Amino acid sequence: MKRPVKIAFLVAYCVLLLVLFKGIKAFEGWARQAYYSYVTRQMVASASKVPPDKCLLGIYKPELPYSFDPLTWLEDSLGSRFTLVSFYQAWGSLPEHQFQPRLMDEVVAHGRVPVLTWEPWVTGFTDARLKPLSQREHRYLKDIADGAYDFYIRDWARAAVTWGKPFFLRFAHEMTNSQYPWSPVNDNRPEDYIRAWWHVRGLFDTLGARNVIWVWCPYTAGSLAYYPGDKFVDWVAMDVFNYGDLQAENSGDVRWASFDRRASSIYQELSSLRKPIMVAEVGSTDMGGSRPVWYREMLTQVAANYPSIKALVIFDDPADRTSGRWLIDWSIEGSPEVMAEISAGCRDNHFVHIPDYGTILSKPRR
Amino acid sequence: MRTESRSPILDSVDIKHRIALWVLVTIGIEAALYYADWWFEPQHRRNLVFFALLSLAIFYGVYRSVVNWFYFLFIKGTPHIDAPAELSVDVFVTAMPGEPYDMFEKTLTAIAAVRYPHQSYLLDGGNDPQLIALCRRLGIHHLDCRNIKGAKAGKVNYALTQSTGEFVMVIDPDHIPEPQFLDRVLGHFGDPRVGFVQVVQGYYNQSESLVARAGAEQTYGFYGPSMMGMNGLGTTVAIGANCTFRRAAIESIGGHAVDLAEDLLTSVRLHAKGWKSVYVPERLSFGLNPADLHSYFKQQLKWSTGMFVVFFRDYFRHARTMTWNQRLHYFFAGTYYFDGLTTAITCVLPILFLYFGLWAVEMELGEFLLHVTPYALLTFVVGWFVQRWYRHPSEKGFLWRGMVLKKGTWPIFLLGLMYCVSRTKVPYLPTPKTAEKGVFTHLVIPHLAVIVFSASAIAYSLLSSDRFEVGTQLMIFFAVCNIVLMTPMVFIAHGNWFRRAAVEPVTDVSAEERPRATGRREEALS
Repeated sequence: MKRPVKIAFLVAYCVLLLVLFKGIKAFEGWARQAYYSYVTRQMVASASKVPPDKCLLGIYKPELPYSFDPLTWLEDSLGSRFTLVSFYQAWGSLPEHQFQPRLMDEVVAHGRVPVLTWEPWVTGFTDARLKPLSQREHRYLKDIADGAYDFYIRDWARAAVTWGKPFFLRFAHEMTNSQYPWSPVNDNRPEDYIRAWWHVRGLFDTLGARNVIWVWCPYTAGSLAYYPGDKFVDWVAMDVFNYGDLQAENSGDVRWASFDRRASSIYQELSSLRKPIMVAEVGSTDMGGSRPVWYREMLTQVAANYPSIKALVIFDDPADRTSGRWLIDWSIEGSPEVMAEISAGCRDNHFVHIPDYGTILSKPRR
Repeated sequence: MRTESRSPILDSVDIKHRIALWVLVTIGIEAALYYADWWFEPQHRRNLVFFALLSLAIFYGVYRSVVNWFYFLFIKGTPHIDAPAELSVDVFVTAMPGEPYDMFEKTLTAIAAVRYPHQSYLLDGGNDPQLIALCRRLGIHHLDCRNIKGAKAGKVNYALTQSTGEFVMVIDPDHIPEPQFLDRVLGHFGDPRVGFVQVVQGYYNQSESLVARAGAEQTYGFYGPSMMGMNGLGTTVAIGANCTFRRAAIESIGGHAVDLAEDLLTSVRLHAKGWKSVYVPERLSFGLNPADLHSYFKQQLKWSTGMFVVFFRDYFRHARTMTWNQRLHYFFAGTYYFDGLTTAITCVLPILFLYFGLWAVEMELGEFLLHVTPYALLTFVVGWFVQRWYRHPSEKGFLWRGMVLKKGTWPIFLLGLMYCVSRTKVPYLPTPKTAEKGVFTHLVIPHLAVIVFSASAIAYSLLSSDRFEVGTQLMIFFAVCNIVLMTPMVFIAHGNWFRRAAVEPVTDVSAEERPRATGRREEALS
């Protein structure tokens, strides 16, 4: 061979080596991703006790758990059942702020598992030992961590342990949402949040609580600084709302946005924790787009692209005031089109009802 | 035992096999890249100095594999060319005082029986009357070389002044040539640019001991695919024995080089002068390998020191006038014995880490295995594939003895490097001709040290659990590998413990009957 031919051959061979190498690395990336998602799926399924590629349905309705009649009507119209029943409870000194075994029993009696969102409001306490109201909320997660509210937490925890059946406890959710006093609005810091979580969970664990499933629910992506750690959290959660045009006035963010658009970045972050993920609240307004399409897309997207989501709790509130300025109607019963889409979407065998889910959960965990 | 039939693959290499080889080597290079790409990821580095040392040691091994693969890609057979009649050929055999008479009787008889007409010369450093008588009986010229300096090469140069043949074949006294030796070789000198022709060296004492067997195993790949690759690259080297030179070529470089690695240096000079070389991959002579560890180590010390000296002192000077292939080849050859240094590093670093927490790298063992396995697998697959070019079916198989002995000779290679760097004069060692039957504990002190320190370091790290960090498992794995690699050497060194009963009754007789091999450098280049 002539010299230029040799050099050309050498160069071509080196290029071939490099191209092949790029290909191998790409394949490796793909294979690792596939393996990672396989392992995640298995871990998530085993931790949630929901089979792989299945997702539980849950619902929040203001009437629940006081009355189950509206739920029965809704389920009959949809043709699907909701395994999880979500409701909310605030901290405070009144009887309604105590653990409510009768309400919990009601949920269990209907064959459902409670998802209790436990909100650490502290202005509802009348206890004299606490700081005066004007100062009480300043960095109070630190006070929780330091034991100032143990008198309340202990009673509540003891009652929960005595009750004894498995339930999801979503404590101090949306910890960066400034509408809540446990957010940084009161100078609470991530380390305060984590210490408070450890402390509260520690009180439950000291009492031998085995029935509490701890759900950690951040507000947005980028909240991992608030994550208390794998040992202290059983499920992670996210709340996904499409405010439509209302969103723009809130934050100048995009207006109408699909579930995918709202959820993908926080999902990426949460799924890296390899915990089962609960969509603890989900809904769309009709301001600026088609609600039926939104719900349909949500259900197909969750089934197709969100394998770690093991529970989807529909936020079915006709008069939500939590956004501040407006009364928002998130309810699904009002719109036959939305009902039809949800009904069709839930018939996808990705979404399941597990009638004995409470019994499954009460078997000893690993 | 020694009848050799020609194999058809000598003449040409099947295109299917060549394509398969290119594919395998390409996959191998990809596997090596995959390993390296991962190894050098920034998060693996800890102490930069140790990281550099360990990387050097690890990737020196990868470099050697790739070098081997490189040779394999250019494997070329050598079609036979009939030797023209009436060439004048001289055959030189050297003798040193103390070498057994028996050996010369066998060798010289075989030389006299070589069919192509030739003049034979015994270059006798001792002027032994018995040998003089033997030469007279066989019609061999006897040259008194008592006052000739420069060991073998000195005698060869002296003999060149006493003879006139156009071609000179140099053969070691323990080597027994086949009758057709010259007929197979001389035809290749038809090209006037060819300076020397090398043939395969076979061995006939493989069964004598594990060391002899291992030493022979180290040559199988060299005289097969490796030298055939050099043949394709135009870089066939002269091995001390069984090489036939053109007198004009030798004279053009002022005679055979006189040096510790005289054969290598002669090749370097001839190639630098523009002479070509041809490899005839036929087993045309059979000799002896060192059969005990002491002799083997002496031989290896001579080769490694000689190789380093040629590399550091002569390579860069002569490389200017070589072809690119030859420059590459002698660089590859000259860096062969750095294996001693790199093995020492891989032995010491895990111990330092496990005892003192001196990190070179921090890697998960599982990830390490994932990234090293394709490369390791491909070295075996390529090594297995090229066995089709081994010179004899009996050579094929899993040659673990050769590998173990090679790996276990690291202290000697390291010593060779130190001798070279410190310019310590190593005498041209007369390799012992009598069997050494001792127990060679002193030769494996470094190996024992590695075993003891590695084992205790593993125990220490396991017992102090707070030291169990991510990279600890990998370091334990390295330490275990070192123990596994070094342990066979201890058994080899103490082989006579296990065979004493069998050996003792015949000690004196067998000592005389067993001639020792003198050194050659063949596998040094593989």
